[in-house]
Amino acid sequence: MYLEIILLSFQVSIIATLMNIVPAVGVGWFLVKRNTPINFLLDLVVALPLALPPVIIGFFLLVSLSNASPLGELSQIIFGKDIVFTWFAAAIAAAVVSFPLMVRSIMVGIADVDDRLEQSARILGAGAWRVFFTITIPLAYKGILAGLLIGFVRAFSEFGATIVVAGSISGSTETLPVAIYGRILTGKDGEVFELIGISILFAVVTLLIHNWLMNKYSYSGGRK
Amino acid sequence: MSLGNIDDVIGTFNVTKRYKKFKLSIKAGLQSGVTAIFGHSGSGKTSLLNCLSGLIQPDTGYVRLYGTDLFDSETKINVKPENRRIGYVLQDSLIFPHISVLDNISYGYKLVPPLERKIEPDELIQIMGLSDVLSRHPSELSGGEARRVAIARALAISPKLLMLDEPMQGLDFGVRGSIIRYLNRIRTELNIHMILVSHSISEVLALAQHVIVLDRGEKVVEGPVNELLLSRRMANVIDISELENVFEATVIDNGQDTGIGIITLDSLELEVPAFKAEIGSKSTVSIKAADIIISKQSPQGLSARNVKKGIVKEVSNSTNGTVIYVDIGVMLLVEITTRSLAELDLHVGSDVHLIIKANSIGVAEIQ
Repeated sequence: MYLEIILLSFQVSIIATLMNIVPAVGVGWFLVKRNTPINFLLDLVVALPLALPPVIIGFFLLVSLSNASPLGELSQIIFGKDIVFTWFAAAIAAAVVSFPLMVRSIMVGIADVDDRLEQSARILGAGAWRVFFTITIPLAYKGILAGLLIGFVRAFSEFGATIVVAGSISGSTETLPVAIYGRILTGKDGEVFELIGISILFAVVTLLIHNWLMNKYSYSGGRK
Repeated sequence: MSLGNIDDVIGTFNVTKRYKKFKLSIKAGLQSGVTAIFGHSGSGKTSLLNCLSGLIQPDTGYVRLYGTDLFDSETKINVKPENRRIGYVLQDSLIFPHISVLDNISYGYKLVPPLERKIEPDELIQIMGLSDVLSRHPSELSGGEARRVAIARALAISPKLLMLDEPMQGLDFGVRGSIIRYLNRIRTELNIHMILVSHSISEVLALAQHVIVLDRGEKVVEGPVNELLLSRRMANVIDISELENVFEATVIDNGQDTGIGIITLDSLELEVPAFKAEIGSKSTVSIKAADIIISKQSPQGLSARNVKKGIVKEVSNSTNGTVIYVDIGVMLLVEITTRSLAELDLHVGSDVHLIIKANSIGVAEIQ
């Protein structure tokens, strides 16, 4: 009976992370490499979900995705149904909440790439996109990978925004944290502990993968 | 050699760029062969290269190379750096750490249209002596090897011009000599015009025919290297005590048996301390101008190994010292005090003897 919860949690977190990859790398690159007047504003907007209680994010999403909103109407036209209170709403909530953490980590990775390596590539005839894909991304790999994992972990543990915008529908929006919350309310302590055990197991495994990848893709010490 | 005449102008530029505490404003011509950009750190050398390469956009001015406008603030032309086809070796080599040495060398080569490829990576690997390091990871390269890989990588785009920013910076003497040797090889074998940025007058003397001297973002003077060295206007930018004579010499005997090596520079033979290099090979030799003693009479009973007869060709007397050019088969720069100049009554045409201790001659060893 936990399998459904676990699979749903994975589905929501993976989709949330995938949705975030391209914008997070793009925004991270922009914030590090471009020095424009809007950087200050962008940085603030990106960091905001980190500073706000997730329940507020959930409320904003609820309002902007409800069937009275333009996004809600668009969803009605495309999918023929509402987004709110679906697993996809949970994924969007997880994506928004984990986005700032991903961007932070990716920014660290991109900032570590020596500008002059990119300049050298430029002079060798590589256009901006080629430099980005052949120099910046491979050299920022560690930070990007760390960002993906951190984002995934954050999405996996997301609760506050999810419960508001997706609710707690068994088999549809009941992710691991939501399931634990539901069982705490109904006093099913045994199941609570079992689900907590599963959560800890996943957290440990993800962190081990994170550390292993960080070592594997270390350039500083030469070939490993 | 088809480097063209020394007076051939291959390009001109006039660039102005304002920074918060610094203003670069330089107008000069680029000659065929090797042009050195010389000046102290902070004089604007690297900024100038960045303007020429397109990494920095000047505020106003123009950059023309072989009759093509690369930048012109009036006509709003600004060719992107990737389309300028200027080989530019930035300071510190900057080998891409995530790809192999060979992939580094061919990174730019692959981006050049096949019909415009004039220099092949294989040729560069051979000229720059890199065949042994191809299988190594970039992090396993020595400083000198990394520098050679960076130069080969820049040359692989068949550049119209090769710009080198302090190519000997951070390398020890032996490796410095080998880089000088490789650069001279590139110049003769590949016919590439170069701009060499340097704060070392010995590097300029060893490689360049033409020099542009910068000070605080402005051009002090430009002209042929030999003439300029004697110019009074150089007094503020050259530290005479640092002056070195740098030559490429042929190894006659490395002295591994006797302890005394013998090298020749053209017709001149010099005894030097034993060193590691193959007999018959070329090696870089350095003699500090301040280490050479000058005498009007033929000295007797000296311990110094090298006593050479010569003629004073030029005398440069400036506020920070006196440098004379003496022809002993090759031209040597000799630094003396202004007092010695007066006491010895030296002038152009004086017959003199130069005394050079073997130990004051540095020979670049093979690594």
